Amino acid sequence: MKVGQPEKFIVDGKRLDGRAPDELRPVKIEAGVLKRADGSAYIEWGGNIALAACYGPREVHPRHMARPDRAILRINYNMAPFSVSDRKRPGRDRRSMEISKVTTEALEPVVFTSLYPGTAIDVFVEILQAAAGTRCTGIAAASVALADAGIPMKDIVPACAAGKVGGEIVLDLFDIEDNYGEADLPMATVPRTGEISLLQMDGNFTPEEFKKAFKLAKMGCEKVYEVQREALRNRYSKKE
Amino acid sequence: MEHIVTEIRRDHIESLIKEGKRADGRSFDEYRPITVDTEIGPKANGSAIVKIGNTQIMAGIKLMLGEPFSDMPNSGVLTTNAELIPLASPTFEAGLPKQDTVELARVVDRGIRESGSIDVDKLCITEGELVWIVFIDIHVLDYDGNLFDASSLGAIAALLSTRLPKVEDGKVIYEEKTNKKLPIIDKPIETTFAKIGSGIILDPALDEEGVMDARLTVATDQKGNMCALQKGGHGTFTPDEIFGMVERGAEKAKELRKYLED
Amino acid sequence: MARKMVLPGEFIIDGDLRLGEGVFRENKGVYSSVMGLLDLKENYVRVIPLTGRYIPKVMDFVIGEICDMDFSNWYTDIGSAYSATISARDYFSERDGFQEDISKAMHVGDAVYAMIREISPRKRVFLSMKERGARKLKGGRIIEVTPAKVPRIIGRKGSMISMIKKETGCQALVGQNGRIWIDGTPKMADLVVKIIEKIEKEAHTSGLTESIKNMIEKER
Repeated sequence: MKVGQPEKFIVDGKRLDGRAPDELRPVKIEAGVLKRADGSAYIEWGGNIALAACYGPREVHPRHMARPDRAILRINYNMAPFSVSDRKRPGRDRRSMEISKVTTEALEPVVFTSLYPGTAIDVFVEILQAAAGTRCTGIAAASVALADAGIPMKDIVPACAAGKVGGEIVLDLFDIEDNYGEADLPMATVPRTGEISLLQMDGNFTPEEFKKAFKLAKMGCEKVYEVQREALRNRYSKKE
Repeated sequence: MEHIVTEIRRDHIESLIKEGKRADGRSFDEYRPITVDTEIGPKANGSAIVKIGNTQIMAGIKLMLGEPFSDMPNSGVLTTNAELIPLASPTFEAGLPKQDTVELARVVDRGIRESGSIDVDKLCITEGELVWIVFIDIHVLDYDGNLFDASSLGAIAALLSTRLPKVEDGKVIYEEKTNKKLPIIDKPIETTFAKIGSGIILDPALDEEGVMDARLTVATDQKGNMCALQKGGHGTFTPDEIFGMVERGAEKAKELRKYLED
Repeated sequence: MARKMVLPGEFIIDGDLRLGEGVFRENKGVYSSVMGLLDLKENYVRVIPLTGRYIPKVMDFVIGEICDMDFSNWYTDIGSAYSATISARDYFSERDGFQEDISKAMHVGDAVYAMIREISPRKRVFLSMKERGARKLKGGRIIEVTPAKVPRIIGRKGSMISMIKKETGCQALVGQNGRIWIDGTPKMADLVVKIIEKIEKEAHTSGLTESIKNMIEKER
């Protein structure tokens, strides 16, 4: 048992933050929130707050990274120093680099990069407040920012995690569950086809538990997908 | 390649200035619409998002415990950092801080430090051993001109909203916030002017910054005294222009300070 | 005439239609690839994007801003990812003869209204100043709108922009790349800017032409 670990994670069918095991934290997304970026999105997901900005297609710097046959997609994930309890020193760290990579790979399958050879499509994800599940928060926002920038895609990509806490499979871990739980499974999907574009896991699952968590995370993704689409629709209907 | 401002754009702004007008219809002494929101989230000990026109910054305050400087064993430590993150503008690059970033952080810091805004002697826990270290982090979110004023206003707003976390046995318990606020005894305000031709305008927007000859940031404390100045840009000011800006700055600071009242 | 708004990945129709921009085919189905307005005809389908940077097309007229040059080329920023070049040959005619110093004609900092005459396989854009209507811009002001809104600002067969020019007495040149040059009296030029801002905000609504006519009446 770790220091500070709660005795029970689920009491009377409710988790420590009041949710049911298959319940998502509240998610709110707004598209088109920044002036300079070509596309942008603001997201609040549980206690997470993040911004995503898309610039592109644009010239590639450094030049040697340009590809003659397609655009390169570069998604950069960064956390603000004040986003976490222990202040994070500004600058790149290994965790951010890994998350940047898997986030880019979560979206590459859907972006029509061959339409813009020799260019870059850059997305910047900035975590302003972190509360477990920041990479899924970032992917959800990045997808909306890309769509808001008019970048052609096969689908909008949602993300969501499931996990195991106190032996139970639950959807969308929050802080305490993330710190003291037994497994974490973040996922990103292409809802229209059911394909999986991001899958990571750490912890411990039996094959049965894994199947259950996988299904739960996929369901969570579908819920997030609706919020993303709603945000884009609202972009042009919140007139008057 | 530096962004080239075409003659048409430059001429348009300059000819308007000659007639006492600005491209967005403001007067020379007018700020764009300003909003200040505080307490954005619980992880920062204090935070604020400030918008001046389309320019947006977020300021976050993190408090940590640490050793004081040996020459000031009773005082807390203040440190300010800024990031011009690539999200905020097509012209910002990731990587080590550039000159603009460092200047922004240092000028915001100067206003707060030199006005004695935070009573650092009250941040001492054990003399010579343990004091509060106050990290002010400015995160630029959308760059449309005049980062100085937005950042310094955000920094002060964030500081004012900061609540000290609980300390137990020399360790910080971040999840538990007390109701104790930072000891703030002054609210310095920075106001930035830009010179275009012979006109001096307040709160330059992005297109105005692109054609300005020089800029001056004036930090004024509650008593109306100057606590910091910074001239920037490749051009010059005359002494009269400077005295004029210092006076106007002190007046405008009073207006801006109102945004800090809850 | 409000078109349906669709999102990336949204199913449009099954069938063998001809595909325009903003759509893609997967198996039998046609789907939208962008956030935009659906234009579905019997044999043809496209989605008009609501946002996005300018993608250069041959024969488009654009407003470019000269940002660099060498002894026989002007390099022009047209707001796209791809660089645009005006070669001396696309400016001077045979009669002009050999030009010692092309900066006498145009230099860095000038703005032009030019036509895209060619896009190379590697997407380099070549502009020509020799087409009818192309010219160096002098005076006036340049504003920027989302390229996606340009068709609405021009209007069907140019009706919208013609009406605006006629009623305000201003000159105006609309670049497909979202840059618009306006020249006229300060009051009328300001009005044109306001009208264009209004079109940008309300491009996809109906009744726009009427409310703009009202706007102009009020100012006069």
